[in-house]
Order: sequence, then C-alpha cells, then structure tokens
Amino acid sequence: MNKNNVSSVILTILVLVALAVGVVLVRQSQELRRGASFTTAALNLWPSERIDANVGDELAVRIKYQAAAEKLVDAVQTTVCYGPQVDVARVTASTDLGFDADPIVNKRNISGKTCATVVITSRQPVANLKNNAEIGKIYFKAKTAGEGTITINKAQSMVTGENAGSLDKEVAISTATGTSYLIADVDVGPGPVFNYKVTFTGIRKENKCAENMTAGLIVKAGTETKVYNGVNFTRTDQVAANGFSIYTGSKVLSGFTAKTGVAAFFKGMKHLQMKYGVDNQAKSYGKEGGELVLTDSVDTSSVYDFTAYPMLAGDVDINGEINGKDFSTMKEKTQTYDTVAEGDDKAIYDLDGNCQLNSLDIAVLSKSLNEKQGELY
Amino acid sequence: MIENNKWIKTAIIIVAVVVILESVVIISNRGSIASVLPGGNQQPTQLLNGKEAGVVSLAVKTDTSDMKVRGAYKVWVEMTGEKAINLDAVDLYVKYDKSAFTVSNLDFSGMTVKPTFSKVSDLKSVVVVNYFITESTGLAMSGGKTVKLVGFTVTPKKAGSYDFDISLGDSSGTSKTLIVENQTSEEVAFDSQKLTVSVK
Repeated sequence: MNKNNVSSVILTILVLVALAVGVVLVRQSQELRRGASFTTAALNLWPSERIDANVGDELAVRIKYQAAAEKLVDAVQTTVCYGPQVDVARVTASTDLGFDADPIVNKRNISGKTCATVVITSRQPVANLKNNAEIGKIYFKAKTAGEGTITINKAQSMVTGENAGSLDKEVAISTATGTSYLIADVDVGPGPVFNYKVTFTGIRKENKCAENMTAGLIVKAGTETKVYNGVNFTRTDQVAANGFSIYTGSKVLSGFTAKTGVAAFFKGMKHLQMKYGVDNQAKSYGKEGGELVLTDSVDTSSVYDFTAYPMLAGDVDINGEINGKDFSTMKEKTQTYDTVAEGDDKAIYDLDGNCQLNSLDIAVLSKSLNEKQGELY
Repeated sequence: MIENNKWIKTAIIIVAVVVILESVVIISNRGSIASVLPGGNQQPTQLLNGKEAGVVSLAVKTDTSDMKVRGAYKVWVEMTGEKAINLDAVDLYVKYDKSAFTVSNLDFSGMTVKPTFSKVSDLKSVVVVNYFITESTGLAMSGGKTVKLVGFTVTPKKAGSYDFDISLGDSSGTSKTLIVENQTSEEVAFDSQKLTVSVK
C-alpha cells in the first residue's frame, strides 16, 4: 500500500467517525431538549388582584419567580400580553438583587395580541443567585378606559438557572399567573347620580370579613360609556330575601351625560361582571342597553334595587369567567382552612366573607357557576 | 489520476471539518436562553408538530355512525389518559347541529362523581358538562385508562353528514373545553377526536 492510499484510508476513516459523532450528537441534543428542564419554577405577575387606575396613570406590575428550593435562577424571559387600554412604558430590573440593569424589551404581536418580551439576567456568582425573587417591574401606561388582562404567554417565556455539573440550564415554567386591570376615566365635573342596592352571593349577615366591598363600574347609554373604579358599597343591617346582606351606594357619574336608557355593569375583585338594567332586577337582564333613569341629585335620583340578583363570586383568576381553573385554585386554598382577615392577600379566596377558607367558599363558587352557566346556556 | 486523488482528499477534509464544526455548534447551543431571546421562534420542547402533546385525549364515540332519521342513538364522550395525571376539573363542551339532532338524556353513569353543572343547550348547540372533583387528589388518570365523561341520546331530524365535536371555544371565547390538573391548577393539553355520522 503506497503512502497516498494510506492517507486516503485514514482520511476516509476520519470523515466516517466525524459523521457518526455528528449524528450521535444531533440525536443526543434532541433527546436532551425533551428532558432538558432540571427543575420547575412558577412565574407570576403581582399584584394578582385587579389593578384599578385612571387614564394617564402608570401601572407597576412586578415579575416574580419561585423555583424549587435550592434551585438558583440566573435569567428570566417573560412574555406578557395585554389589552389595547395599556401599553408598556418602561421596564426595570431588580438591580438591588443583583439582576443586570437595562433589561431587553421587545414588543410584538402574537396571535393578534400585543405582547412584550422582557429578558432579565443576572451575572452574579452562584452564591448570590436566588430561587425566589422579584426580578423586575413592567410599567404600563393607561391609555384608554376599559378592563382587560395581562397574561404571561408560557410558550414564549423561559427561565434558566444554575445546574452544577450539567449543561442543562432550562427551568420549566410550572405555572404562569397574570393579572388584570380596570382603567377608569378621570373624574371631571358633575354628572348624574346613580344610587343602588346590591347583594353578593354567599355573604350573609353573620359573615364579618366583607365590610369594605368595592367594585369597578361601567355605565353605558347608547354609544356613551364611562368607567369608574373604587366604587364603594356600604354594608347595612338589612338582609335581602335571598338571605344575603344588603349593601348600598351612590356614585356621581362624572363626565357622563346620559340620564335615560342607562345600563350599569359592576365588576367586583373576585366577582363576575354583572349587568343591571332595570329596577328590582332578579335575573340576567338579557337585553341590549338599559332602562335606568338618573337625575343630577342624590336625593331625587331613584335608588335602584338589584338585591335579588346578587353578584356572583368565584372568578379568582380574574379572567372574566368561572371555570375549572378557579375551582382548582379554590380547592387548593380552601384545603388549608386558613383564617383570613379582610384585606389579606388570601381574602380573595374567602368568597363568603366568613373569615376562613373552607368548603363553604367552594359552595359559593359552585353556586355562581350554576347560575352563570344557566344564564349562558 | 494523482490530481484526482488530491481533489478527493481535499473534499474529504472539507467535509470532515464542516461536520466537526457543526457538531461543536450544536453542543454549544444547548440550553442557552440566548437562543430564545426576543424575536426567536423556538418552540418549547413539549410541542410536537406545533401542538402541545395531550396528556389526555377526548373522543366522541357511538356504536354506529350510520343513523336513520327519527332513530335514537347513544353517543359517549370518553377521556383516555396518555400518562399518569390527576385532574381537578373538566369543563366539557360538545358541539352539535341543533337543526339536525335532538339531544337528550344526559347519562353520567360512567363517572363516580356527579357534574356540578350539566345541560343540553339548544340555544348554543352545545352539550355542557362541568366536573369539579372535590376529592383532594383529584381524578386519577393513567396511561390507557378510559372514563366515560357523559353519554347522551341523539335523534336525527334530517339526512346528511354531521359532526359531534369537542368545542375549543367560540368567537367570544366561551364554550371552551378545559381540563385542569390537580397539582398546578393549570389547564393541560388534550387531544380530541370528533364523531362524524351519516344520517339517512
């Protein structure tokens, strides 16, 4: 065998080995991708409760992650999608916790929704990384009145972390919880007065953790619409025929000009949006528009009685409906039998306002689901 | 001949180098968040063919897909586990053509729990069943395990070819079938199989 032939054989063997190694590595890479996540983390927007703001305000939404104990996170890519009422104004990273300043922000359209991808990383040594932290804040500008949600697109989000001794850095996102908002028009000038009496499903006279109820309010008449937040309800000693406590309230509809054909939509923090269009309403209004008539005086404007059609509680993920996700969340929370005080973070799950998370709250949710599904179907 | 050999050797060396470089690039790209920075289109690993692999599958079934007008036929919706998972809730919506069928007699004998809500809605041409599993561990499913979520009787009104399908939500976002996991309270992906019947 001459020299040329020997070198040809060696080169051929080399290329075959390289090809084989290449094929093995490609296959190995794909398999690793399937099982690449070395732990899981929850990704949340905070506050989880609805954010009430006025047009022109800035809404600060915090991005938080919680990985399994001892699992250290070094980068988070969060893709949030939001409604047309708001837009991302700026993003800051938690530099005090070691995250790099100047996050990468990229706005884009995903399946018809406006979204922003935010990437925040940390170059800190492993000893400074955390398994649980707030990585930064997204500041949204409230552009127009209305309500909507800010959700995390799980498929377009990613978390990575320190995984000593392994190239697999990906942290699977186990849950991604968003938030919601109600943007109200700025109160300017006088307007008609809306007086009302309402009840809330499950809240009875003896239940003490429901003294300070508030809701968002949307009023419509023809093409005119106004949104108000922080509308208060004052609890009375009276009880409606359905056994629930009666709350009263009065709201000057600043900037709203219509006084006839008015419909009112209340949306409590953990309640479905309820439409009220007529006095003594006892079921879903079920029609376009409304029949409420208002005056400019609190004394002469009628007090509309909606107590026979209580606000339905159970929309604890604030997505506008009650479904299996709300139930599953409520089931987990109520199994703790925790005592809660009004205003606590967990108070949103105390649907009947009896100061404890228990099966009665599940019963309220089930009743609300039955009521709403009965209306829809 | 010698020149030809040189050309082959050169080609072999180039191919070898390319393959080695490609391998190195593939290795170095693994697990890097840089590859999914904004604008990237990388799909999560659990996505198969652009669709997340279902952990359960829903199928609408009947004994015969050849039906006769004014006959009465039993239709079932079955849920089969693709892997072990515990479920907290199933919000099931089955679409049908109300102009072609009368649907009645909801049957939950295939389940050990009663639905929280159920209705045949001619208003929306949909069968609605909401199961909330109060058992702390939820409804345990395993690979291959099948449960009958609901059965109902269909009576064809007119001839033609029609579908009974799992609803994934209408234009307003309602009537969306939802399956919720016990551990995370998150909805899980599912596959669905519609039933097509021929009415004569």
